Amino acid sequence: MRNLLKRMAAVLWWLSGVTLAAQTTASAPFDTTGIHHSMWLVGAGRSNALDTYISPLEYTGPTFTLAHLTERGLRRSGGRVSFSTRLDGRLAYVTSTAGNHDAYDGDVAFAVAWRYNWKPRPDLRLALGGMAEADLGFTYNTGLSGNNPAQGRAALAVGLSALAAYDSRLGRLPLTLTLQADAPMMGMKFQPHYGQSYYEIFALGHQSGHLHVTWPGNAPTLRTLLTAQFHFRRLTATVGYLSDVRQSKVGGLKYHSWNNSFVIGFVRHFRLTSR
Amino acid sequence: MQNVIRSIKVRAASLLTMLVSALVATSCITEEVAPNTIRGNFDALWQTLDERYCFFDLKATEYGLDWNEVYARYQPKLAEQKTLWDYFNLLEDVVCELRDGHVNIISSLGTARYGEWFDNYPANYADTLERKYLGRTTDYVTTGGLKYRVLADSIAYVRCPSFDVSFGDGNLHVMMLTLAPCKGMILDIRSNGGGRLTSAEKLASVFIDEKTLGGYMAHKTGKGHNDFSQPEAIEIEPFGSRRWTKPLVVLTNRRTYSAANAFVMYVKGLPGVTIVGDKTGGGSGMPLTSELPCGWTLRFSACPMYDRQMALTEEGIAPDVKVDITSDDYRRDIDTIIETARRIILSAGN
Repeated sequence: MRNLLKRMAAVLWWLSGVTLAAQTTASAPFDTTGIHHSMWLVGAGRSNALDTYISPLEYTGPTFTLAHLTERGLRRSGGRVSFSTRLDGRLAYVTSTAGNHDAYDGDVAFAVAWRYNWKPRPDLRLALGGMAEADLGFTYNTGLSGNNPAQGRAALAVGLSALAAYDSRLGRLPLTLTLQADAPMMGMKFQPHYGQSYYEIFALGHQSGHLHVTWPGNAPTLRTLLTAQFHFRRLTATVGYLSDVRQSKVGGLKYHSWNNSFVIGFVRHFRLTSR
Repeated sequence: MQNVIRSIKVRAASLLTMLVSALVATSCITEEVAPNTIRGNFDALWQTLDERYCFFDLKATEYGLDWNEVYARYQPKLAEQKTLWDYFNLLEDVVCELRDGHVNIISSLGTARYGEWFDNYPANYADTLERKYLGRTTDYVTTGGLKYRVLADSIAYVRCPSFDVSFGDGNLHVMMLTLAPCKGMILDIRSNGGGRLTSAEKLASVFIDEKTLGGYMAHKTGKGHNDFSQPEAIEIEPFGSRRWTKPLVVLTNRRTYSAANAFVMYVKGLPGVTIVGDKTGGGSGMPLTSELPCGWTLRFSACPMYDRQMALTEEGIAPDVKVDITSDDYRRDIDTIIETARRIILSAGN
């Protein structure tokens, strides 16, 4: 057991050193010209939703996503720091494992991130930094009438944001493979108590103890986007895969929304000028 | 030295990223659900109620309910069930052990429910008698879920058959304006099975002149039978338009239930208010719903409501004046309860 742990520590130490390789790049790690990179994505895939406030059963079905991501280099950082934004909306129509009840499950999230960039190789950019996210969501069960057919979600969080971008070619066509990941590390989430109705909260005004601190121990959440950007002469087209895993276990209630989508879109590059 | 520090920082950042990704990737939050089998659905039914039903202590005190004993008594019977109907009826027997009209299983076969809270008592209401007092369609006004007319002795009669409606402010204002010259009001909520608590509060607000404590509400905070929040006050604001300040008699019977029971809880004891008829059916636990693995909906009392004295009204609220409709009066087309209400209002005016 001790030897196994030593070997695992050595592998992790080696992996963590990959980003140190060739830190002698002569060019800035990221853009210094102020170009904004704006990506629009639409996606479709599969969702698996659970909210024990409404039902103990998992609900699965199609999910649709619309996302807008931007990134630009901060000139004052000399190209080392990039600022990015993400606005995405998701709506799923899911059916219970029993097959007789349906629900709508959706979220809108807005996040900003600042990442420090490295270029260990001319064709590889790595970035790591912090992000802040605001999320609003809902689940509405159309089959279970009563006093708890729906759940609302509101959350704020700060966390880690990472990106890796690799430039390559597909024949003569320039290509960039990008992997982005956002993981909230600390935040706050609104949630009713274990057996409390929204009537009690909003009609009677019994509003206390509904904000819960979240961290990966009780709300492990990870959003990963893998894209391939094809740089045509006048257009950059994007295809990719989006994994959006949102979870929480607070106040005796469990929630998860596991979404896997195929995405397509395009990227625009432009520069803002002042008059 | 600076390179060493930078090296440590970069390695630490990379390790942190890998650790977070691994943590999230391996931390799936799921719910253990019993399998969709005869035994699985039975276990899910029993366990959901065990964790979320709110009146175990009350039922234990009233008739010695032991939920573990219920499991032990019914579990061996599962093997005897030959058809889906047999199985549904068995589960219905299980929920009926709680003796609670708010505990139901809703399925394509029907709704499992307990009805002895009204089956065992006189009806004290008949739609033929209602028709006699309301009259023909042109004799009464229908407005926002209420029906009303003025009886011969200048007493307002208002029939409220359900709280599963939303009362408009305008509807209530016009009704109060129309009935203002009357000596008193009979508000008939017999056989009103409930509906929206917000509607019960709205109607109660017409009969109060200042912010009034209506009762208290609590909710479960965990899976234990005694895991409850501190009860918090239900405060009713007076209606923002024309209100009723003259004598009010509220008519109740055993089928006055749930939100209608809450309405009685809000107004009983207020000045000028008299409750006449039979004890209400109770139903003071606001129900929530869940699902069994087979998809059948399970409804159960989850949030207990208490009156101003912090007493549960789950078993009903006794009237101020107990009256039953006699057999003779049924034969003579006389509603004894309405007639008693009229005498109370007329004597209050003398």
